[in-house]
Amino acid sequence: MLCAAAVLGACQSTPPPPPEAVTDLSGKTCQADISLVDAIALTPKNQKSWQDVFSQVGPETPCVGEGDAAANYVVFALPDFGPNHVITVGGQKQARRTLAPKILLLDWEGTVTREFAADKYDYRGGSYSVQFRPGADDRFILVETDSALVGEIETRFETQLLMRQGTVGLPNGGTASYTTYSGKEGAQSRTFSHEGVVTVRVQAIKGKIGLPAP
Amino acid sequence: MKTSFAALAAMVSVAACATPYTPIPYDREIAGLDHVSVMDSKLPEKATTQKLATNGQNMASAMAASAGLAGVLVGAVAAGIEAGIEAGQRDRMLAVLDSVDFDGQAIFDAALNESLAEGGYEIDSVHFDRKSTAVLIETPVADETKAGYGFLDVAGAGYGYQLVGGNTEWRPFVSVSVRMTDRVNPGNVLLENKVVYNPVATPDVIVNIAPDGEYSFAKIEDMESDPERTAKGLEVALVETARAIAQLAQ
Repeated sequence: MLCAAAVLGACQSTPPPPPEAVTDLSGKTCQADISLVDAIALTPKNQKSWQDVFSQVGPETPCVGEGDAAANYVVFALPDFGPNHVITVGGQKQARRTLAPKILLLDWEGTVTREFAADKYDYRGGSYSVQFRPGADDRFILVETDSALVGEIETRFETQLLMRQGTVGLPNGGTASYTTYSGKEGAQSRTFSHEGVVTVRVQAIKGKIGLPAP
Repeated sequence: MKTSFAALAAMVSVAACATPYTPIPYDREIAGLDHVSVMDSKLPEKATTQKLATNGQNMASAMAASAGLAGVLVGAVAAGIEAGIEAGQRDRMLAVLDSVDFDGQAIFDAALNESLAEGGYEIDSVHFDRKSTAVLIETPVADETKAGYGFLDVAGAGYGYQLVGGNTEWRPFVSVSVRMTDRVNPGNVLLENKVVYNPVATPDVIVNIAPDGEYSFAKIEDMESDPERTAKGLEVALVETARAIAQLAQ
């Protein structure tokens, strides 16, 4: 009985509200320089032709800079044989916020090798992202939060198709299953944020990630 | 040290399953093109309609008509009713577009050429026979005299008005694939991607354009009573899609 009550209680709990945008980093103590030491490897341990990597950006994420220029940042280590890959990296759209991404590519020494103009950022699926093939000298992706973009509200009209499966009783006593699709549409507003989720899709054009094209 | 490693692992998650579509992003500096040869006949000859959700009323009608039959047949009957209704709606939408001499291909071509020219390309048009507008042309012949030229092909899977279902309205949609190759070496794919205007479900690697909320119609009758706005909604969708393609080539 106690167990049943506990289960019922669990079912009745309401999910936490979706996180709000974080537009102010004034409470954080930030570094003067980017550190590459904790770069997240984009090369999987097991051989794969593609993978998604998601990195949460929150209060514990390192930041760089001061005042209004302060930005959270995450560093990813690109696979070897970079030109054989397609990278799609950006800020994930969440219910009420989108991480404001500013993407830079760095060489082994941390020198910026490539920046992306504003018109290279686009909405692709669930993220606001850039897409590129790394050059031979590109070794790291630096994702900073873009303080110039943070706080801006973007409203987009979005359409979704939702699937529902069910079972219906038949006159002969049997049952039949069915699948129905319903639509959902409306304007969605999200605020660009210093916190959220960085998404990275890594795809080998030929063969496996981190290996030369066969 | 162990603590920091655990924290890092919790912050980063990795996922992988079925192999997704792989685009080829364009690098203008490496491609070195200053001239784009745009292949013609890019879109389906006519606009179309698509209804993506199950219509509840039609499902109920089908179940009454097929009482006692297996669920799979119930679904099939419902689909048949839907198809019949949609064919009629498509014809009515096309009649609306015809009434204002709507030419989707011309609108798309003009917007694509203009956007490419604004991006600094010289433009010309080339023709290759294609089996379907929905399929990109495979490897046109090499032409060694065309250094600095790219072939740009657009394959239009479809465009028109879609009704997602439930309490939603008819809204424009466009879905195209795009590929740019080197005319000297057509096997060298410089750009490949897809652009969808008003997507309902798309991979994370293709360009999604949100629809202009201004152009929606609760019923086909509403299109019939305002042909100019019906055409304008589709024009906006085609122009935005063309601009997105040109942007991919920057």
